[in-house]
This record gives sequence, structure tokens and C-alpha cells, in this order.
Amino acid sequence: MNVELLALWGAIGAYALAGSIAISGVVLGRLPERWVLSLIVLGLALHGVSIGVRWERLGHGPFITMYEILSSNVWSLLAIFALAYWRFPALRPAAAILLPLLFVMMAWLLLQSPRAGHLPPTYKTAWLYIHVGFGKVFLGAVLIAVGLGGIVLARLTRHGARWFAVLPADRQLDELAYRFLALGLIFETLMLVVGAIWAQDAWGRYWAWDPLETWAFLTWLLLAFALHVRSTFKPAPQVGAALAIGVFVLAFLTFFGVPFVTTAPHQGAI
Amino acid sequence: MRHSAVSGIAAASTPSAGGVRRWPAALVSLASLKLSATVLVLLAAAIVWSYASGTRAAWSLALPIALLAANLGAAIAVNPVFRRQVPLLVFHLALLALTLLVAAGQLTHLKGKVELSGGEAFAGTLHEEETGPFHWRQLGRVAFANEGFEIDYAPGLLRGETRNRVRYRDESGVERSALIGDRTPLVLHGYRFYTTPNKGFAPEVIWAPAHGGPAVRGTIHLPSFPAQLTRQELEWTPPGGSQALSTRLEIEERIVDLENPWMLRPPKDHALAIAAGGERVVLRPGESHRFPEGTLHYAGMRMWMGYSVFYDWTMPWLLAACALAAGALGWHYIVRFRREPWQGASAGVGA
Repeated sequence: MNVELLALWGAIGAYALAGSIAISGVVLGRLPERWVLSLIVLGLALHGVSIGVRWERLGHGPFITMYEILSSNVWSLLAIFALAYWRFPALRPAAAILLPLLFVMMAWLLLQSPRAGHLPPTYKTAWLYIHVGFGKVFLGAVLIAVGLGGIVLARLTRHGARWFAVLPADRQLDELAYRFLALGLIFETLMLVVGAIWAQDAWGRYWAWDPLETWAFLTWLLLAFALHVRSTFKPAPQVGAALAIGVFVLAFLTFFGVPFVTTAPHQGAI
Repeated sequence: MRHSAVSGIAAASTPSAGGVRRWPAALVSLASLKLSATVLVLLAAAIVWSYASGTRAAWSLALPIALLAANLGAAIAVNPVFRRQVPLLVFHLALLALTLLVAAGQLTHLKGKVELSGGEAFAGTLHEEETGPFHWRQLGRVAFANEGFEIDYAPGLLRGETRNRVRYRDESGVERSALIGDRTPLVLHGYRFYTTPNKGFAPEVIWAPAHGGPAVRGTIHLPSFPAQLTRQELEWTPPGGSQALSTRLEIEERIVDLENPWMLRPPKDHALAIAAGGERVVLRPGESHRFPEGTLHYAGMRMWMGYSVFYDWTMPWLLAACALAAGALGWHYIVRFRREPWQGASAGVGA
């Protein structure tokens, strides 16, 4: 088995262990926070090796096939989560909610063929890295909001209320989630703008309502709507949580669904 | 006790130097945040409807966007929050500016396509175009010629880099040469000419009419290659003629390599099979054939490139408005979030 696949399996093993410890820690009321973070960081390091080896071998980054996109997004989402986990102790029990979510992505990744794809000539530009980078920060920020919202919703159940009892009140978690959604809005705005700059010289127009552009803009509208609803109606934290989850679901379907069901220019051309 | 009649004047007001300023009820209603949320939903619904139905009616998006712009303009006038939070105001003004710029761009833009064979100069007209009603046409000032191109392919049909040499006259009239390609357009007088994946073979022919008129030299743009790999044929009618000539390219060598990287080039070993009125002939480069309406001479194979053309003077302004919007949004949230820690949130504290 080559280094790339070995490192990937090692990473997934570390992530799975981190997630398992997080879940059992939350359920048993004793979360070994440092162990969870250390395992995530170990996983990120191994995963980084896998991505780097593949990048070196193919001569291009993880931007083309579903395997590459899932792999790089699992890495970036966990990297952003690890940063937030370190910075916001209140977020740590959300590992029990978010890591299982990411397990689904990892399982999907393992079902993909690791065959190489062809890098279209329009991808040979620095704008690709900037656009993708902003997109990853956007999705990571919304994921954190989902984790916090997940805690708020879990507390509606008897078990959830017990497991997450020591955390700040729902209103405070909702405020923190709102801040991550706001961060998400900034980065999604930047992602759309840079995407338009890239599209202008890649395809001769800055916006053409192609499926990916359309759904990315709809995601931006939903995020703007969620933030406006919060300002206007001062909804209960549970409503905020539902909106954050809605934004993440739409973003997920946009970035992992749309490019692979259309033949629009975002896939490259003959 | 007297009650003053205040019909038509809203309770909403803002303090001003001379006292409380009252806004018309209609303006206050138009400024409502609830309306903002509603119109955002309407805009999303309009986009989903346009996308799902396949229609591209500008009005379906223009109406909710116009309503949002009116809502925003009213909110900026009426809502004191915008006077207290300057970055928020700047962000929303930048959004308004974006809306107006997009509208201006739509009214004055040009999008089009033109195909040029190797050695052919642009004649100022496009094969397809879509323009805004107020586009001020300057295409006649654009002077450039396609000097030929190379395209790299990975094994199979996976296109790599395009390198198209063009000769052009710059805006001060000096003749220059440039290499354009996938991410590098030719920009002349605001018009951007982009190479596209639409390109192919262009047999050069000379048609001499039987009735003795002047001979005409031109190229036949066969379907895009290798996208239409197995359908390299075209039916065309010579100038001044009435009988169509069905022309098919018969390639007698391998151009597409499924196992190794290859470069798109005109075929050396090939022939043109031409059918007209039950007659079929095969011409190689340099050969001629007399048809009832004239003589066709096949001069040789060139290649044609399809260019997409784009004009929109608002682009740099759009970019500036976007940068301003993103910067102001970031600035607003930095100030707001620094002012109050998230742990301080309690029931009833809003955004």
C-alpha cells in the first residue's frame, strides 16, 4: 500500500478515535479534551501528508475529482474545527456532534475512486487557490455554527440537556453561532467575488447563472436571510440553530452535489 | 383637549436638530426589516424558478432586486441604526451601488461570438451577439488577426493549454503581436476577445463561378474538433450558387492519441469528399473539380478559432463595490463583536 493511502487511513483512524472519545466523553460526562484535540491534530498531520504526496505525484492540488474534493474538505473542516476547539472551550463538546457528521464525509471519501483527474487549463491560476481558500473558511465557519446549534437542539432532549448541562446558556451559544455565521457571510462574499474574477478570464464572463454559481448565490441569500431574521425577529436559539443547519445543508449540496451532476464549465471542457 | 390629525405620518421618527423627524408611513413600511427578509425569500424563489424552468427572463430577477433596492434605500433614510453604525451603512450602500452597476452593465453590455481562420482578420462583425439597448458600438475600431494556434491535449480528449498568436493594432495605432489563451484575453477598446474550446479545421477553397464572375477565396469551418470527432462534415452553398455542396473531411492519419499527450494540428494525410446533386468527388490539397455551377479548388487545410467577445465597462467599478462591501461588512462585525463578548448575550439581546 503506498504512502498516500497509508497516511489517509492513518488519518481517518485518528479522526475516528477522536470522534469516538468525544462521543463517549460527552455521554459519560468526562470529555478528555486534550486527547480529542491531539488526535485530531495527529489526523490532520497524516492527512496533510496524504494530500501532499498526491499533490507532488499528480502535479496539481486536490481540486478535480470527488475523492480530492472530499479529502481536502475533510482536512480543512477539521483544521478549522480544531482551531475553534482550541480557542473556544464551550465548543469542545460539539465534537460529539460534528465529528460523526464528518465521519459521513470520510465514508463517502473512502468509497470514491482515487484515480487522477485532468486539471483544466482554466485552473492554472492563483485565483483558484484564493477562491477555494475563502470557500473552505466559509464552510468551516458555518460548520462551527452547526455544532453550536446542534448542542442547542440536543438540549431539547432529556439526554442532551444532561450531556451539555455544563455549557453556557442557549442564548450565549446562539450568539456565538451567529458570530460564526457572520464570519461565514464575509468569506462567502469574498469567495463569490473572487470566483467572478476567475470566471471572467476563464470563461469570458464574470457571472452566467451556471448551476454552481446559482446555488452558491442561493446559499449566500439564505445566509443573509438567516442573519436578517435574527436581527428582525429575535428568534429563539432553536430557530437560529435550525437556520444554521439549513445554511450548511444547502452549502453542502451546492459544493459537493452540483459540480458532479452538471456538465457546466466548473468541470472544465474539451 | 385637542388631538392633532396625523394621518399619513408614521410614528417612526428620527431626532433632528429642530426636534423629532417624522417619516411618511409608506416610507417606514418600505424600510421594514420584515420586508427585507420577505423580499430575500422572493428573490431566492425567483432564482429557483428561473433555474428550474430554464427561462432567463431578466424581469423575474429585476423585480425583487428593485424591491430590495427600494427597501434598502428607504431603510438607510429612515433607520437611525445606519447613522450609528457607519460600516453597516457603507456595506449596504455598496450593495446598492452593485445593483445599480449591474443594471447599467446589463443595459450597455455586449456578448458575442466570432470565428476566425488562421490568417483571417476580424472584420468588425460578430456571428452571434447579444447587446444591451444602450451599448455604444465600437467594434469597428477593433483590428486584429488570428495568426494561428496550438493546443496541447492530455491522452484522450482532455484539453490543455491554448496558445493563440494574434496580430493587432493597439489603441495608439501601433501594430503589435501577442499570445493569448485560456486565461489571457485580447483587450481592445474595452472589448475582450477570449479563445474558446470551440475550434476546428478550416479547409481553404477557391470558388470560380461557371458564369464567369470573380473567383472567391474562403474557408469552410467544419464542426468543432475533437468535440465532433466523427462528424467532420458540413453542407454549404457557394457564393452566388443555389446547389449545396456537402463536404466531409476524411482524415487518413491518427490525430487524437488516446495513450499519449498530443497537440492539435491540421491533418497532413487527408482528403475532402464533396457530394452535390448525386455526384461525389474526393479532393486532395491542390486539386480542383468542375461542378455545374462552378469550379471548386481545394487550396489546403487551415484551422479556425472561435472567440467569445465580452464588453462591460462596469467591471472595475463592480470590483471596487464588492471590495468595499466585503471590507465594510468585516469592519462592522469586528467593531460589533469587540464591543460585547458573546458570553454577555442574554434573552432579549438582539443582533
